[in-house]
Amino acid sequence: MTGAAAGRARVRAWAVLTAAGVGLALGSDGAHARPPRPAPPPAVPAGTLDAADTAAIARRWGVRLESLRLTASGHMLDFRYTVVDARKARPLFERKSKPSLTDQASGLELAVPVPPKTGALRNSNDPQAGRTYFMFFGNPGRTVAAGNRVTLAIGAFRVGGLRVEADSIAEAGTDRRGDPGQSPPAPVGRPGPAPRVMTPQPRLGDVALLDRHGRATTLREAVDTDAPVMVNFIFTSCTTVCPIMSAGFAQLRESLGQGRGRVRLVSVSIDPATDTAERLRAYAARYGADDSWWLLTGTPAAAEAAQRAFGAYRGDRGNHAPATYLRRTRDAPWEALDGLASAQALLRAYRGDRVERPF
Amino acid sequence: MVTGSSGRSEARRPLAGGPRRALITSAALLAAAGGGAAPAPPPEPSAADLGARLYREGLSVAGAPVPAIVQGDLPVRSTDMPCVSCHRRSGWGTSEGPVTVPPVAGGALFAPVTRGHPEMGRLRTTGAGTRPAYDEPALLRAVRDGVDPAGRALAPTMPRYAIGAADAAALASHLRSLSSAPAPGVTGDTVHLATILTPEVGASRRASMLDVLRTYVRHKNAGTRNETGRRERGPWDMARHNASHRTWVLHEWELKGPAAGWPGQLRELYRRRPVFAVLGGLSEDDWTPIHEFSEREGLPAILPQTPLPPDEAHAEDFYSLYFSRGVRLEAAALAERLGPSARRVLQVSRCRGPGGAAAAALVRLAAPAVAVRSECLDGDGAAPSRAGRPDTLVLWLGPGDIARAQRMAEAAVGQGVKDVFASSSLLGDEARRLPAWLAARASLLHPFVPPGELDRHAWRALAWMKANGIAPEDRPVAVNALFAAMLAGDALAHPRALVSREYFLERVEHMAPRLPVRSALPAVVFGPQRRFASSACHVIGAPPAIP
Repeated sequence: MTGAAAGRARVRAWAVLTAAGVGLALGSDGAHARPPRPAPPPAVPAGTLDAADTAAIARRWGVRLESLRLTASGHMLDFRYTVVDARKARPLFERKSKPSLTDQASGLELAVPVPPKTGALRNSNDPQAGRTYFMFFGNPGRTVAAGNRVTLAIGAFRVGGLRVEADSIAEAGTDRRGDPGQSPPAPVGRPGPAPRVMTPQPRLGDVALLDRHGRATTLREAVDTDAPVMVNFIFTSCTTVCPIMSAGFAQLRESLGQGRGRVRLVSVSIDPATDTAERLRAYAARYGADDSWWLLTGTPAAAEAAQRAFGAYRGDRGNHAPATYLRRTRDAPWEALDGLASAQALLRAYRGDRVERPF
Repeated sequence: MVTGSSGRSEARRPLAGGPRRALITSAALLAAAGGGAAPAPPPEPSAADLGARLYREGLSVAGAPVPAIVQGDLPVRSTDMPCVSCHRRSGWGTSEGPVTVPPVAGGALFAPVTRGHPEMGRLRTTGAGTRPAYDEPALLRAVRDGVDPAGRALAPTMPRYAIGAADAAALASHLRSLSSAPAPGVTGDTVHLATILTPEVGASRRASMLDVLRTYVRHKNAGTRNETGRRERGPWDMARHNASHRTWVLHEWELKGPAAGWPGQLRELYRRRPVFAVLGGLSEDDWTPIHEFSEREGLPAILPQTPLPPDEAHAEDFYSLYFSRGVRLEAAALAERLGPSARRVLQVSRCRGPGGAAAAALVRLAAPAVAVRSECLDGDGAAPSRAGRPDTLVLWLGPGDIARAQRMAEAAVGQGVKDVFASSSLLGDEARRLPAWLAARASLLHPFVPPGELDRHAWRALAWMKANGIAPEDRPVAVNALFAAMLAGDALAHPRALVSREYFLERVEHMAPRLPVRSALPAVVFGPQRRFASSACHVIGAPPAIP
């Protein structure tokens, strides 16, 4: 889901609260809150998958869990998940199923609010592979707090051990007093986008390029390795998007420490008329790129062909769309990480454990 | 400033001075901080100067890079991503791909955004909304913590920089200075523009440029004469759209005498009639004195046609935009063509001016791999008679000089010269009608579209001329002049173009690749640090003879 769509979903959640009053979220009509059970929480029923077992969830249900975080000042929980196999994921979109979220600490069971005008705050259209969907749960009395573990049930789909995250916007909005001096600011924000399997897969063809030492190479050769590969498109005079993408690659290498040489990074210039091998060498020096980070240029036609191979061609430089393309092993499919990725998102993508932070 | 040319990020040249305000350099600041032994301590830098350095170079008031975090958790150096890289020199912001960078120029930042603000949707990155005016503490909080005065988080693409209160104060002072005064050359209903001609340009080339510019301005003013009224009485949305409309007045600045006198003449012309920008211009000489005047005054100069724009020493300048590096581009293309193979090159040029600069550039680029001998013609002297035994002959000569080189060139060919090269930038449109003795064997260094392709490449511009009854003798000059005029016209149509000359230049950068007409160059693309639009140079085997 795009940032804008996420924003809209958030606005909608707010609108519901404003229109119907907090009572709605408290469960008068949407959230079927039941009194907390006095007994300790029930044992996790058989057939429940563990949230950390992403492979089993994807195999059985064709979805990838993205995040579960507090929103609407804590009065709701926002659950995001991405469909990887539409057929397997269909039961999660069944209109008649009543999703519920059980807090493992209190035993409280949360439901999806159904405001009269908007309908249930979840998606029950036909699932599409590669898209991220939302599902909101009412959190009456703000009982479920950040850090709690919950079990999610949608029909036969049952996943336990999900961790609730704090509301990132509320966090970022809090005032941090005091002069931090020269210490770097604390990281803020969300973990960033998760990769999607690319359809169609890149067709690398025979795109002739030049590396930063002026040696002739091809796009195919640049990604010809058993190691994980990440590809992005940059230009050295780019001032808005590319410094962030290149800082991301640099930071990924930093996080990998001694293992940095095991990931192949490839940055292809989309402004080859300006980006000579010499400029690429200077750019590499600026971001501490050694020879495991390939910086490539070529003819304008070749640069365009390289972008088209990844479905990344957007016409002129000003429409440059930030994205990272990755392949974790030689036989794995290419995945795309759309938008500007945080260090954490890149690291997660590199490791393949896409739900590391929330669960 | 910094981000485009990575190579200079560590040892950066000091900032060039802004318009009319002498900007302190890093070196001067260090001297000020070091104090002590310096014989005459330079004046204490003002807060605005320190703020400008922070904005453009990413150095704090104390002179150090500032740690920063972008996109949630990516560490970046402020010197790699200073304010200017996204908010641009004007402070009016930009956009790239999905990232929209809102304005931070004082007028926009230090004013509240209330409901009904015409640009409410553009003034923040995270969606439309109101906010109180920024002040210094709010600026500190935004830059350091990423929180706007309404308490909302800024987009993660805005880095969080670890600045302190003194930095924020200096920055605020710089931001207040952006677009604070109305740009010279603009009145309520008129925008004054100038075009510059140097004395050696012949009558036919002069007319080729001036006919186009005069006709363009006449048509533009005729076609937009109602827009002042629309601005005042039109529907509210069109009011903003027409806000920048002005009647154009084009002044023709004809420089006289030797180049040493040009700066004085320019100062006087500019004093008598300040103009908003220089539109086009034509010279067969070194443009550097005019470039330096324009940089000093903060006067945008859009696409003058000259064989010799200023050299690398002016690489960080901002206010002049050129089609190409002219003869220096030709020399680079030739050096690449010659390659490292053992060659003996004889080049002939005028001692000074564009020919001399081209010869010097070739020596710098090709030697010592290639043995280059340079001969120079003075004003009236004959071509050198002793040619040695070169295998390559390069003629950095204009149309007036080329005939005088015939005897020597023919002798050289008799002695074994295989390749002869001539310069299109120096020959001008004469390149299309080379004398027969040269056309048969010379290759042309040609940083324009090949002569035979101009009709197809620039058909729209040529059709415009035909429709307006203009039949220029030098068609590349006319095509380029029309391109410059239309580019300036599109950029000036932007509602904010007249607010700031820097923003006008950023609009020109933005519009150049999107213009429907084409110039006589293969492609015209500018960027934050790209002041020469085209870096392509053809080496044409034998130019087609014109009957």
